[in-house]
Amino acid sequence: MATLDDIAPLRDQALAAVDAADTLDALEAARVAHVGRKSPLAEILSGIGRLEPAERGPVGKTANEARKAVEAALTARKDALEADAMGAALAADDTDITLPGDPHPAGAVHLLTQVRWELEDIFLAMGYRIADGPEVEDEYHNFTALNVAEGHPARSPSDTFYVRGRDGVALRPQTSPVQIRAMEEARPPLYVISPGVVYRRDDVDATHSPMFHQLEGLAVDEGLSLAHLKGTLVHVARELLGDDVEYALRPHFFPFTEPSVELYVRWVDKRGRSLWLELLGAGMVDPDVFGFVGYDAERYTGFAFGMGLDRIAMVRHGLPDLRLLLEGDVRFLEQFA
Amino acid sequence: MRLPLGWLAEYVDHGLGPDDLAERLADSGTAVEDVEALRVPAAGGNLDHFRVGRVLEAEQHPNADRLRVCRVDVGEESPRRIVCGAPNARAGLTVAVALPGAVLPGREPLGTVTLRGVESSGMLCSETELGLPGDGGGIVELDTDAPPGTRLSDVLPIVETVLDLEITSNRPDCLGVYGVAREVHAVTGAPLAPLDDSDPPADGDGEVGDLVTLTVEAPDLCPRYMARAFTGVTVGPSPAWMQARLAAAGMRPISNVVDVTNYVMLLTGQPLHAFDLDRMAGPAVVVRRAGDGEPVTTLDGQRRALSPDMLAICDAERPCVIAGIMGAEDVEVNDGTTRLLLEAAAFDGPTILRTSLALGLRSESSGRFEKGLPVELPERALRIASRLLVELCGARMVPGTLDTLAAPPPAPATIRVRTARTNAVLGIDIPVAEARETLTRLGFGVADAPGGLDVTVPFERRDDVTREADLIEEVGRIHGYADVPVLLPRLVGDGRRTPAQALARRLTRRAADLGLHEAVTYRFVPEADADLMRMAADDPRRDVLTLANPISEEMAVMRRSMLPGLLRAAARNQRHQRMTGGLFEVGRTYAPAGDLADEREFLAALMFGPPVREHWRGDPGDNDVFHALGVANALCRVAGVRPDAAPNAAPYFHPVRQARLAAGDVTVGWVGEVHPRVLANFDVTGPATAVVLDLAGLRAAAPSGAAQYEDLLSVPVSTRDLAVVVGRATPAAALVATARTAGAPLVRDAAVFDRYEGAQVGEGRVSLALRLTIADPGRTLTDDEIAAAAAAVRDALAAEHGAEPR
Repeated sequence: MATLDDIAPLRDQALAAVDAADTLDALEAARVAHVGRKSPLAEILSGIGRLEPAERGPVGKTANEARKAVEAALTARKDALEADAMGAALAADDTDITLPGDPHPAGAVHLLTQVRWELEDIFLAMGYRIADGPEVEDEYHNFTALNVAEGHPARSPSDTFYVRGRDGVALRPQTSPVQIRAMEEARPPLYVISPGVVYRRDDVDATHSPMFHQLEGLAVDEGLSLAHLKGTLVHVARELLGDDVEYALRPHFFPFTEPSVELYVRWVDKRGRSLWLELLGAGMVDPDVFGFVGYDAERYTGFAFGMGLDRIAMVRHGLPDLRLLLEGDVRFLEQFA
Repeated sequence: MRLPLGWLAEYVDHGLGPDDLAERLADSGTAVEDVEALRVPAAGGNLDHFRVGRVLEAEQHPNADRLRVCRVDVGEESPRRIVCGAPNARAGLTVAVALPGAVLPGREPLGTVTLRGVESSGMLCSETELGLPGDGGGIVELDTDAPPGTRLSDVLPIVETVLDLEITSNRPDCLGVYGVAREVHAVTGAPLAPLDDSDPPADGDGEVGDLVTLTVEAPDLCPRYMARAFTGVTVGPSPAWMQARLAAAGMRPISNVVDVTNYVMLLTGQPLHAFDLDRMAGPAVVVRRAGDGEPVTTLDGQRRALSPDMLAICDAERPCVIAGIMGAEDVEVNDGTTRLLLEAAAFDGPTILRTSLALGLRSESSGRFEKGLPVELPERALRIASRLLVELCGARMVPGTLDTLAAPPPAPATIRVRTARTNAVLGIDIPVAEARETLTRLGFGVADAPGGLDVTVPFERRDDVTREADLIEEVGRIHGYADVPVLLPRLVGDGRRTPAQALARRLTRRAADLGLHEAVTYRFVPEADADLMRMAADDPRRDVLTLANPISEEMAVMRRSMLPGLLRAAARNQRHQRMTGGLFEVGRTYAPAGDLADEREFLAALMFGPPVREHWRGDPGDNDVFHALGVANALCRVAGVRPDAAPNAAPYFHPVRQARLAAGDVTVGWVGEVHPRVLANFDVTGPATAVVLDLAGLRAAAPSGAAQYEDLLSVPVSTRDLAVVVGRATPAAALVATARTAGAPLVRDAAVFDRYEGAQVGEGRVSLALRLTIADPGRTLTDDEIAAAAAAVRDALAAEHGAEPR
């Protein structure tokens, strides 16, 4: 018959066995052997009823404590063994985490489109609409209404592409005809930009192309002066080239503005040379142009401006050759993604 | 135009350094492209090393046949010994001496050297060594009374700075030194010396009309023709000062007579021409339109054929000058010329421009005439040139001037310029006194008037200044725009993008996000593109807008499709070993229509090259029509459009692996595998697939209004899969369409998710698996409702397509 004195050794043997189990199977065997139904500890507990009444209390209490201690040790040991097993399994699933991640397609919006969008956003924020118009345009909108005199070199077939069999119809040499059309369609106040493709009969070389891109703008309102033009151009230059850009507004000549100006900016090129660079042309709308569209030139004043997107892209991004923009070469395109 | 500052200084002593002057000119409207220092560098006291010297003795060098040892007085206590190799070095000459330390153009500083054993402390200079025009055949022989020791720069223009000016097309008056001098006067206020245009004495024999007759048959193209005759001319080199100025201005000195005409042109802006009177048939001058194909051999040795829209200055027999552009060889002034005819005329600018372009012949003269010169100008130039011919060429002027003036010039216009208007346009307050002073300096007549000034326009500015606005510009540009305030208009515009612009922008961004690179290609293309794209002979897309004056055959017609441009770009990439890639372009195509063109906006995308394994974790999908379809669908989703594919028959696509994309009745685009022959035509290594989307179609098909919420969150959404067997020719899209229609409204979507072809379903049959999505927003469906909806679809598939359950 087991006695109170037998319990402590059984407990200690069980705890030692739990401790010694280094696999879940060994742990299960230890559980069956030491706290299973046929284990000595279980037999002591089931035999309590056969003990002397005075022994039942102390033996039962001690045996139960021993069983709980062993079961707690079993649970703790099981948790530890399971954690070890998971850790080992995870560790076994090792890889080279410096390999590339899953690919997501990386295309690019063309640099010219990026520059155009940037400028469009600048002008949209200033309340300008974006106007589109035909690229195949008539003589009146291309030249006459822009105050380009008969016989002016710009009208000659050496400068402008004409369409065969259509008298005077030409590929627009600037986006200004869109401004004329905008004025024909609306009354002041008018704030509009016209970005787009233009054509001039230049041979292709590093700085010329028979097809290039412009963004022109027009503002007509009461009380507009050269000061508003200057403010607008300076704002654009700062947005494009930085707040500290150095600039100068210099007189120039264009048929459709009077006075006419060019905005020059101080630019440091890739070789570190500081240059005055002509960024864009502009001026106060010529009263004759208002005459063509039926605006009252005494009541309204306006200004117009135009810039070459290709040129801005070339200067700002250090392109040595205009042709890069028109070749669809992915080695170029992906640099501006 | 090249402006030598030494020449300018003769008329206006502005007191500014070259860079400051350049800036003042630029800020008043004359852009300066370059400031170029010519000849002897002036910096660092270099000019002190250049002196006038007198050769006292010139003896044979003891050790060298070709060298002479000279004793030269340069104004010092004792003469210097200078060894010289020039053949003309001899005693008595007044010479140009560079002393040790002098820096000659493009050379290191001069030292004291020993030449064949004889020490030489200086150098006797030739013109070329000083950067002056000359043949370099000997040392300069100065014709001056200046004593030895005088700074050489006081007697010879050994220092010159040239401003390269960009003269705008409205200012032909500034294509002359005096015109620019007036600008400098206006900007700086420094006095402007008058232009001496006094006539020389006319002491030749007879009268000009006795020597030559003048007939102007085309007064519309030649509103004025003036000519004078000279006898006793001695042709030779022009004086050094004149040669130096011409050379600095970019013109080669030729002979005294020709140099005088060029010099006066550079001074006044009025081109002149000199004929050898004895080589002219008649002698007569006939100003007429050229005959058709009439030949002339111009001074550059080219034989040219003229046409009747060109103006020629002829003698009794043949053209002697293409008017205003270039003279003929055989009446040109040469060394033996003794009698001259000097022409100063006004020609129709556009005619000169057209002729010059047609012949591909531009000259200093044509560049001025093409801008249209006033009829008053020839008179001034003729007088100045006459005096120079008399003074420099020994000529005697024959009394009288041949002169035809088609119509008297218009009286000078007087224009009111209002002070208030000036300030309103310029945004600054310019006092009327300043405006008065500015306009006066610019040569306008100015009188006070109520509220402003009455301004009379001189003939030089007649074409340019016709209105108040032009005068406001004159006042403004001389004032400068540096102190114009920086203001912005008050915000009154309705700035926005149109729906079309917004869609184009979103599509562009989506295409880039899908991995495609945006390209910009030429919108004019070869006409042969239609052949390369396999267009049938009667295909309407062969009807193109053709340029009348293309640069080349490669840029001859406006494109009807954007694919050829992308195919060319793909080929270019493949030549650079980029075998696989994706390009797209958003732009227009152009078809003849109405008065102008039908310009339509498209997005075209081209996925080219074999799929390349680029990632370690998986293989790329096939570049086939389904790839293109996936790209197209992803793009259409930007517009909220889910297009259906329908059969299509474009010649440039694979005959049966292409589709038209439509949303309802609206065609939104096309997809396909590019035809192998088209790939070969463009040198593209396939496969290649393309997507073309019609932006107008997409806009038309796009749902309008804001998307509305449906409650599919609080109710279960069920799916049911149906596998059916149909004939192989039945398009999957037809089953889907039937399922959507028959199952509506509870069947919210139907999609094919599997396809099987093989022995189990029988020859000519295909098994398709459809997944139905079934729900009713806000309501939970019963099992019976779901089953009924699926059954309705199954029955409809059976009825319409003979679909059997599998």
